[in-house]
This record gives sequence, C-alpha cells and structure tokens, in this order.
Amino acid sequence: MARQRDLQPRQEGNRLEGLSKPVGYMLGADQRVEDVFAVEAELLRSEGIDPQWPPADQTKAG
Amino acid sequence: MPTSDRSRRKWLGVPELERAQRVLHLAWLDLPAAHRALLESIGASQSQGIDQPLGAAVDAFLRSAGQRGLSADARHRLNLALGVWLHELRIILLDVGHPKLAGLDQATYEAFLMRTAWHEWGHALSVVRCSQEDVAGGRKLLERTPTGLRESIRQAGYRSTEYTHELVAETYALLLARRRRGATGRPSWLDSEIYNLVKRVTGWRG
Repeated sequence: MARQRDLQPRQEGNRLEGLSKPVGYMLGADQRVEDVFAVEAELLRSEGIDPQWPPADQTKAG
Repeated sequence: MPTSDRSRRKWLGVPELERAQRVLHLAWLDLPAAHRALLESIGASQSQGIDQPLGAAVDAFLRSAGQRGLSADARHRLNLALGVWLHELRIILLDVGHPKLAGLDQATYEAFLMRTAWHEWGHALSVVRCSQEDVAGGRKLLERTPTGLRESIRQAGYRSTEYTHELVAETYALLLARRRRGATGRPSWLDSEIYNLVKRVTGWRG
C-alpha cells in the first residue's frame, strides 16, 4: 500500500517544510470544547441535521 | 465548571487512559476503509492518548528515538495543543488529560477525543498531500469558511501558512461528524473550492 504512486505527495518541498515542526491542534485561550461543538451544531442544524452525538460504540467501521 | 478549574490538569488513572485509548480506536474504525489505507500509507495510522503536555511528550519521544528534540519555543507552543501528528515516529498523539478537557461529562469528553483524532488524521493527510499552491492559498480559503469555523482557526493563533492544513483538518472532522449522522455530499455551508480541496487531499468520496 505504501508504494502506490497515487498515494504519494504532490510537492515534496512543501511536505518537508510542514514536517519540520509538528503543529498541534490548538484552541484559543478563551475557547472551550463547548464552543467547538456549538460551531459544529450550528452548521449541522443549518442543513437540518440533528447535532446530537451518536454513542461512540455505534461506529460505521466501513 | 468555573474557568479556574479548567486551567488545571486532572491527572488520569489507568482505567481512564484505557478508555481514552479505546475511543481513539473507535475513531479509527469510524473512518472509511479507503481513508485508513491512505493514512497507513503516509505513516499516520497509529494513535496514542497520553496524559502529559504534548510539547514535553513529543520532545521526550523524539530524544528517546535518538532524534533531535524540540526547541524551547516549540515545546512551549506544543504544550498547549490537544493533539499532534508526529511524522518522525509515525504516530498521532492526543493529550487526553488536557486542561481544556477537565470537567466535561463523559459523552462530551469522548466525542471531543474522537473529533480531535479525526482532525489530526485530516491534518496529516493535508500536510503530506497539499501542494505549495494549496498552502499559499490558505488565507483566501479561510475567507470562504463559515464564520464560526473561521474564527476558531483564527483564535487558535496559527500562522497563515498553517491555515490550509487547519482548514482541511477541521473540515475533515466535520464531514466525518456529518457522515456519522448519515449525511453525505457537500454540505450547503461549505464552499465548493474548499470541498474539492478536501476531496482531493483526503480522498473524501462522500
């Protein structure tokens, strides 16, 4: 799998630049987890999707 | 919970760490099979939850592998992160005891761990598969992003050269959240250029 050509990066230069320093997932100093889910819920509701989170054990595993 | 209580770590016990690890595994299983194969091909299929600031943890991981550790600035910055893809060691690390997670109910805690893992897998795909032009266009793409999402990325203090990767990562996590609820296709709130970028970079077929 790792040798499939179509899975390889397009621009090696950019890839290496990006990999030189690991960049973590950050929240703003005043941002809470609830704020992240509020943004997600607003987007989901805007297209008529119930934002309530399905239990973690209900995976699609597809 | 008062803000002051959210500023401290709640050190986790072994059962809590094991539960967090199980959630990461479920997050992995929730990905489309083709995405898991793609992530395996770039060395981003492994994940581990740790109860330690990520800057210190990554520095220790790198040094124990015989590699150069992080600078003090990079360590300090990464200590604030909830998750990171460590390409050198082919693993995604999540700080499952991060102060921002303190006081959450169990369902919200687990949902956020899952979301953070999805974000990191999307981020890894973006870093490896985006072109230089994609990265250079990050500021423009961010302007086309829904307000709440755009402000989240801005508030986190990323450099403009990181906008594209963060946008792909966040959008990927949101698309997986929609998929979990049975929704497919391009969301009405998502700009078509961003959707096409995420499709190209992550292999999204929704």
